[in-house]
Amino acid sequence: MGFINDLRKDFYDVIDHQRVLILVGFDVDALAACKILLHLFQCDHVPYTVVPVSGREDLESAYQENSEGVKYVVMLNCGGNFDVIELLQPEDKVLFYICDSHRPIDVFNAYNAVQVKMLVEEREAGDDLPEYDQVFRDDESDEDDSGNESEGSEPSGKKRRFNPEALEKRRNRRLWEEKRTNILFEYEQYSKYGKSAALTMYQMAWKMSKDTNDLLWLAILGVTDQFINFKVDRDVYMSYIDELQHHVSRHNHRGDDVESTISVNCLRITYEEELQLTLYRHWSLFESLCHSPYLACKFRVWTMKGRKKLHEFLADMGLPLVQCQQKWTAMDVNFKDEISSMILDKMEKYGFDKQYVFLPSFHASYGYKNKVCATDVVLACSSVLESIDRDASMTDSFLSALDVLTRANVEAKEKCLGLAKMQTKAIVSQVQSFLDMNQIVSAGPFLYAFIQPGTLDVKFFSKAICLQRLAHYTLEAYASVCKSKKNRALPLVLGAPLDAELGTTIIIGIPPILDESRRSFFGKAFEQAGEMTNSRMLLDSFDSHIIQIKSEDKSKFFDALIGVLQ
Amino acid sequence: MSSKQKSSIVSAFKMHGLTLRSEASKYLVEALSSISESDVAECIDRIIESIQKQSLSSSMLDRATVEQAVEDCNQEQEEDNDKVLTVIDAFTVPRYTYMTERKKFLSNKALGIADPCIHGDSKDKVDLFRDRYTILHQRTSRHDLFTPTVIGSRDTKAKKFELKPIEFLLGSTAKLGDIIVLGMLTQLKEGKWFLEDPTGAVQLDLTKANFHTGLFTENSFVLAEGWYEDELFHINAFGFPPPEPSRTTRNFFGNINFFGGQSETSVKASSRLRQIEQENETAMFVFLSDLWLDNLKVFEKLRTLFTGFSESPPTCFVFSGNFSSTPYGSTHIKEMKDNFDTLANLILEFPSLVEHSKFIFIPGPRDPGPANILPRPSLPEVITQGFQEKIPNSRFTSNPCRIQYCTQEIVVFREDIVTKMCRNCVKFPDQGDVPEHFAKTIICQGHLCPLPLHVSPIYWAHDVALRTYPLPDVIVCADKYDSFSVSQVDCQVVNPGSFPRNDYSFKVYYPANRHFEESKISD
Amino acid sequence: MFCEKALDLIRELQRSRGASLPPFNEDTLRHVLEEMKALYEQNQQDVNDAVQGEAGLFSGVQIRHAALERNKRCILAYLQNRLKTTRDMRWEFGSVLPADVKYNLSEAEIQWFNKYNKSLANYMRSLGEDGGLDLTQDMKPPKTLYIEVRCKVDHGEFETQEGSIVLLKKNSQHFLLRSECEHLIRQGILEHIVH
Repeated sequence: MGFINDLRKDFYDVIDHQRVLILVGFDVDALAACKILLHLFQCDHVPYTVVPVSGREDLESAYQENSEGVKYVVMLNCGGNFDVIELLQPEDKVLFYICDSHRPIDVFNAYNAVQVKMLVEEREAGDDLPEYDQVFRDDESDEDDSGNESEGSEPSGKKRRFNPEALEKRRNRRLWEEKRTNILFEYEQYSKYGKSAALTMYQMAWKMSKDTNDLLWLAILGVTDQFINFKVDRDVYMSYIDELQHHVSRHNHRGDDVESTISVNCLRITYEEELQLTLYRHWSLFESLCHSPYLACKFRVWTMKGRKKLHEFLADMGLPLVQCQQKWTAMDVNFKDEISSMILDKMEKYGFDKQYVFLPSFHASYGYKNKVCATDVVLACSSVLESIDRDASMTDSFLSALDVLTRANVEAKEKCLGLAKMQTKAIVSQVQSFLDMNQIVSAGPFLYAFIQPGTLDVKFFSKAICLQRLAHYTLEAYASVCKSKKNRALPLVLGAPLDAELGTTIIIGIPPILDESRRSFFGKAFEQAGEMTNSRMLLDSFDSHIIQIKSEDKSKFFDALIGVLQ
Repeated sequence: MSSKQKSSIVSAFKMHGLTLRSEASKYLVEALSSISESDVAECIDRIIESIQKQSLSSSMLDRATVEQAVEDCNQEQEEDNDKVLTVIDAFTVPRYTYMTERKKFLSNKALGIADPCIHGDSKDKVDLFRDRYTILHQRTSRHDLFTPTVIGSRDTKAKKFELKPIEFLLGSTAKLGDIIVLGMLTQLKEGKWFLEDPTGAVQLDLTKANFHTGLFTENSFVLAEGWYEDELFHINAFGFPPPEPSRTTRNFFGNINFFGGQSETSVKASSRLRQIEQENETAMFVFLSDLWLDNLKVFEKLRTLFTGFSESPPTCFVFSGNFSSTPYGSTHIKEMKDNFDTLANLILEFPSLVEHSKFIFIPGPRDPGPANILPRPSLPEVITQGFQEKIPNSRFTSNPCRIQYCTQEIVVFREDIVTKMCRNCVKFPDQGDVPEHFAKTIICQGHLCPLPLHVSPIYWAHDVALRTYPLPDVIVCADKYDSFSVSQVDCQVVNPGSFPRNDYSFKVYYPANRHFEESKISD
Repeated sequence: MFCEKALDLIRELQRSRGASLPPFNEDTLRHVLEEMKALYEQNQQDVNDAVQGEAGLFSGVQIRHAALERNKRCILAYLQNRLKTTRDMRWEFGSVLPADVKYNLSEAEIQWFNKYNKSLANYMRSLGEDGGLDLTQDMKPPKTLYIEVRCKVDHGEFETQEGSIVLLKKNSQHFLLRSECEHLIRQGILEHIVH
């Protein structure tokens, strides 16, 4: 089996100063993992080349271009859930190291111990992984039978041993194949996410005693990204936070001696119970309240009544409206310090659930001025990664996002926070329009909504991460207004126009908000629906629940989808 | 082994600041694999040298550059004998553009201007006159008369003039005296003469004009001196822009090869060629015009000529048209072909000539071919193919054509131009003889045919071929007119005369001592 | 006054310090040479006259001689400084000059550059063993053996010394030996990423 448990011995030491090609997927977790890995490689003088890939086609072309003479390929958050060897057709001596948080891991990748090594702990991935024998069969004598299974007739020219043994064998084989199909279907039915790639890389660094505070911060960002983008559930997140907290206290332990404090410019990470208000430190409190998914939906700020309730809430806490609408940095210091406790007090009265308002997280400070929390950085980074700037190509955005993660780059961060705010505002206004115009419709087994082409800011939504946030926000908002209990528990399928010239639409499917396990069956469902209707679709993304489809085939695809999911 | 070689090659290039692409280095390793170790370093040096001669845009060398360099190296081994005598067709003359700000000539290839086709467009016609003006203007402004006095020299008495453009005249309202202008004589209105330059045109009053030596035709460039009032320029004297010996031109512009041929720099600089020229004292060029091949007498005289030369074969026979006395008729081409075959047979009787002499044929105005527009391409292959098969050391070239022999530049032109120019003069000169005037004209004008386009049409885009700037050593202007030989400003202008009409006379040129000898084959 | 044109040449060089070389000012140079010729001839004549017995010419000769010397000095300074700048370009840019720089150099200067190239290469090859020592690398003491670089323009394939091939596509990021990419950084093809 191609799982690596000892990352240092079986992965890092094997590379040993030879050239590595690093292929990185397009999300913040992958970026953080990439940065950690690059740091390690730089310390050890391992020459590398970094290439970002946004989908399977991109991966293939990037590999073709860059693979000459390369013996080691590391893939971060890409390549885990499909057969890499078949797609890339590499030479025999090329080794692939895949650190992918997408699950389920493709069986070919898992069992190809020679060329593919998964940087995942066996017990984590191996739980639902089917047994080898259930999926692969080595018998030689099946070769001549293999082609003729589906047909009952036999070619008259061939000599066949018409004896009960052969018949028995064939029957066994057919049974085995049916069982195999079932097992695979069950295995691959639900797609979810495993351990963050950044955390894996960090742990490897820790085992090699090369971890630093900076790398720890990157690991925190990776884990936060997973939680914020609804990839893991809260329990898993909490376990990661626990682990990270040990590391944080280890690195950021300050002695009681006042003299031995470290320099102000060094990175300091502290644990904190963060308020889950979107970007509140870089915005005004009022705006932030209106744009945070949980609280905004609880108050229903898109209605007049909701607004009034929000004002009431603020007044109740003793915060003057003027102050709330000022930038956070300009707010009175007392208010800033007291805000968490004030909200804590009033929570019960307004019916908030603590776990949605407060989130255990970390924030980093360096220098006198810079203090950021992990969620903010993740949002900023993903907004840059998916920037809609017409001049910036995908790789440009990737590199800018990589720069944002470098903590020294302060102005870049400022710019990105602006972008993140724009994105959030776009999301909120879109949700508002959905609700106002009742565009969220129930199709039986799921809800669906479409963004019409030509809507304002529609270009934000052609990107995966932003679209995902929109989908979750929409579902939450819908659940808060919806009367019917049944509908509140439905998953959502959201579509947005992708490219006007090519006439494509991007479609995402998310599980219902009440489902804590965060696993989605949409991957398989989309695939099946598409096959049934012969729609022209592109299953290119590494996330199986996001697909691209030709706008004309949309309606028949949807009908098929309804049929599949019923 | 090969990796060591490869690394030594790569590091050698690196010392020179050049990097090789992977395919280039592979190619080099292959190419040098057959050479012994001790020679490898030397070979690499030579390859690097020839790479540096190519104009590189970046220090990263790709396979094509390296291949080219290796080829060049291989070619250098061969002797370049053919550089001694080169014939340059009028359509392959190198083209240069004069950059006024830089005061330099830049080749059109470097500027990225493509070679034109035969029929140019309207821009080419404008450029024709503009280029002629530019060249003469820069030449004139460099002349002593027009350069401002150098501080420190004593001769402040010498009168210095300042060249003014015509817009200066047109722009002034007062009377201007003592003005010199360089412009082109044109008749913009019937009967009225104007002087034109790129900035404007001004009407002339020629009543008191004094013409210096030269044939002043319409569309020639003149220096006009006079006074200006009320939109009328009263001319006191007309002169040509002063000529410039080729030495001076080369001093200014370096060794650019204006003439043509294979070498990149001007052949005048080559000491090796100069040596060959001086040693080869018996080298001879025979210039003959109007070789009427349908005339039996001509053939007889030709036989005498060849017999005479067969002991000491000349370097080159230059025969210019017309190649038949009666030009027209439907059988013209067939007759010509037969005549050339007869000529070939005649020449074959003299094997020493076949072996040692080169035969160059220049078409005349009445020979078959495209219309009578200059430059005129060579005689069609259908006529000449038979001849060329029999006598391989022959060349049919255009009219005019340029011949480069060692360091000497010879221009051959077959056109009845002297009479045309005399007819088109503004004022026919009263004194002096016509050949002197004619020579002065074409030398000073820098052009073989400074006539209006309706008198002597020129392909607009190929005016370059008719230029005589920088001044060549010899201009052979084969004309119906009587033969003459004039030498001015280090340039000899010669007319061999019409072979059948002028008593079978022709000229022989000895390059070693730059001497023309007139010969006749009398009865 | 005498020597003003020569001073123009020097002023031109001074003005263009920091910027690239101005075009080779052949005109002014010729002018200065003409001036020197005129001065010399006059001096010659005056000296002959003085030898004959005419008096009072000596101061004139002295002034002219001083002017000649000054002109000579200015011209030599002009040429020398231009050559110096050209030589510095070899150390900065490498042996292939960009076209616009080449346009501003005279023929003789280009030839000088080529010869300098050759001499430098020969010298470098004679140092050390195994092919020689490249002195134009590492002009400042390097901090690290490997550096992280980002590619700014498509440059095609690039072969490292060990033989592995890197594709320098726009916006790709690589970690390479400093010695190999230094000249590419100087040319602007790669950008050094600092943390």
